[in-house]
Amino acid sequence: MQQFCRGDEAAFDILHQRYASPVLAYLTRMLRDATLAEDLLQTTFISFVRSRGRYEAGTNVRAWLYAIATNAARDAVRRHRARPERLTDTGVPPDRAADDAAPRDAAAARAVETALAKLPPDQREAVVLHKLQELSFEEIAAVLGISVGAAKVRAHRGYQRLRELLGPIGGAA
Amino acid sequence: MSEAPVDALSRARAAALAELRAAPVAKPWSAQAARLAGAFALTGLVAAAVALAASLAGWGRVLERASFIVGLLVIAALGGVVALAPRLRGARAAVIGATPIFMAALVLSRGAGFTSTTPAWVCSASHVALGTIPLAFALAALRQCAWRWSRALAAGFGAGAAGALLGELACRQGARHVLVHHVGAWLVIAAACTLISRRMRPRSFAP
Repeated sequence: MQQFCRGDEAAFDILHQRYASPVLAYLTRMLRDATLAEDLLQTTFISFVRSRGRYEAGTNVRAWLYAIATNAARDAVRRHRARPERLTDTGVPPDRAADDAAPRDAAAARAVETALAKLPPDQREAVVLHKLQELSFEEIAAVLGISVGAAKVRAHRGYQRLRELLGPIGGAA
Repeated sequence: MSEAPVDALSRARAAALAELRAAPVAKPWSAQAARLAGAFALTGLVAAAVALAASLAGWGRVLERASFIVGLLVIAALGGVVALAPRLRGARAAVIGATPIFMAALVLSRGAGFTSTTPAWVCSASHVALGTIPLAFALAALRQCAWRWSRALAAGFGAGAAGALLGELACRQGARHVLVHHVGAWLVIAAACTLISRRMRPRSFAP
């Protein structure tokens, strides 16, 4: 990260290769709009470059990048509103949905994605970051700008609500 | 992975690399914050110098209100720094919490004051007019990071302090006048900073 902050393109490439795909998956899940997510991936990485002077040594790079993506997603939702009609219920474009999973798995994934979309945004952020992006609660706290305890509470409430929404599927999972 | 995301990843990489090549040297946030704090404080000091040069106030008035003048300069400088700091959330909360207390102290310190032939709205108008200069700096600076109401409000308080400094020197009216026409104008600047910055598209979404 320090090399990247000094303008090293190779260092940027390493960070991009490591984080671009997961960040795109995160944005797609949060926005349920693949096109908007792809636009915001670009916005996220441009912000990442522009604001590297705001990065402080010792800060978790992954959490910092997810924080940028989260801020960009929140801003996009506020300004334009996500357009869920562009996607299937799984949160991926129709032409990709069939490729990604077997039909039975796809049905379960669709149910989970639909339930996720019904969560309040703060709980959805915590659940997606924890369960699907596999961030630690310390990282989630850094991403969302809250305490570790508050991150755990948000995720816990999100999981509780998901279980209620999924019913028997959630119990079996 | 299918083709579209690969395209998206490549597009993001290309755009970010173009940005990196355009500005290979990172600008530290502390330099931006120092510039903003300096712009806030300098606007107030220039206004004070003009007030002294135009005999709107004398050095006796400066000494009489010295503690408040120093307090306003501190709010201006701290407001600029905490608005742009990536962390310092506690310090930001402290500035936001302390400024209304300082405003109350400004009002209460005036007592009955003196009557003036100048219309009261002149104070409001000059305060707001002077505040637009640091407000413009604040709005430009706030685009460099993700919007937070606390950042915007701290910047607004800092920007409004310049006009308040002029008011401390050039106006000798009482508490009620200060509350309505000076603190009111200060709050207008702070509210304008918060609301306008909310609507502006950030150049960066970094925390």
